[in-house]
Amino acid sequence: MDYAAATVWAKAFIVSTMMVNAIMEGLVARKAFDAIGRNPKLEETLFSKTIIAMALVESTAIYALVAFFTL
Amino acid sequence: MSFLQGGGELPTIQPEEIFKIGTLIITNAMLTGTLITLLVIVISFFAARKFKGYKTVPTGFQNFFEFILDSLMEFVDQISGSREATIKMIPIIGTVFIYIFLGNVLTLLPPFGALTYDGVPFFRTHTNDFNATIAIALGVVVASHILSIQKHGIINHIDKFIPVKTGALLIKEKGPSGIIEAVIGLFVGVLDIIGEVGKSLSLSLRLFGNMFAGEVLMVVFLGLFALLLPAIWTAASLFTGLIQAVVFSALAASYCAASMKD
Repeated sequence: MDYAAATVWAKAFIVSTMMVNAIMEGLVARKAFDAIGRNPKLEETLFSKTIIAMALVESTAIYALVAFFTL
Repeated sequence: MSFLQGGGELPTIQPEEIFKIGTLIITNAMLTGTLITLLVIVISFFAARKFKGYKTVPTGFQNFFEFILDSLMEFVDQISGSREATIKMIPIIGTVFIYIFLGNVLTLLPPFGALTYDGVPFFRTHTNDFNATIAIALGVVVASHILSIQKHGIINHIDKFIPVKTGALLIKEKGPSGIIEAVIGLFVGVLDIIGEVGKSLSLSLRLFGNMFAGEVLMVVFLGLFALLLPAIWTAASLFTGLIQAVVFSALAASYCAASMKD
């Protein structure tokens, strides 16, 4: 296998690891909506904390994207 | 269908050079950073001069700046827990927030994204450049260490990583089992030092990756369907810029608050 073919396989593998990120963000959203439903008065502070949590969960997928671009 | 597809070139990871001063290469990301610094300095100078007479009930400019400052202090209060800790941290955290937010958003506004010089864009989002983000992240991590030294003193601060003081106490009190506990403390301290490097890398890579991927996707959308899609993506880019600035400053505030706690 030459270098160009190996690079293409590596890029495909890197991008396919971002599936897990999508599943986990869905779980974060599910728990957030549960919590809002239980106590609707806290909606504002729960919303901003949920957005921050989602950005943190997203960060591993962003590291994979950076590795993708530097190949 | 090719009239519905615009063109563009993908941004490179290393920003392009504009001119040289001696042997120092000035890139377009550096120009944007300097422009934002000058903008913030001029606006704050202007705002300070208007406040010669502080009004008790604020109006106009004073109202706007007090709103920004109050929101920032409330936000950092939620993370640090006490007002005095917030007052010590707010110069670094507030500046980082405003710098990153303006930097993410500036190139999307009308006159700044379109100027070119010799075929190369003149202003480029400076958080798009890994040099800028790692500089900001290193600055924040060093600032958290300096805040901890200011509060606890230098020997207690080194004691958190390499247990010189608690190790000596343990050996004096408990004898041989104290030596084992001191060695365990040393290992945990070395892991903490590696953790500090990991903190700065993760902060900088998160911001860099988000902004760089945003620009690459903008060029891809222009090549795909240039009628409506780039406008929607610009709106999403503004939102992402705000969220990334919030997440960066929230994490920086939590690192500083954790280092100032006992």
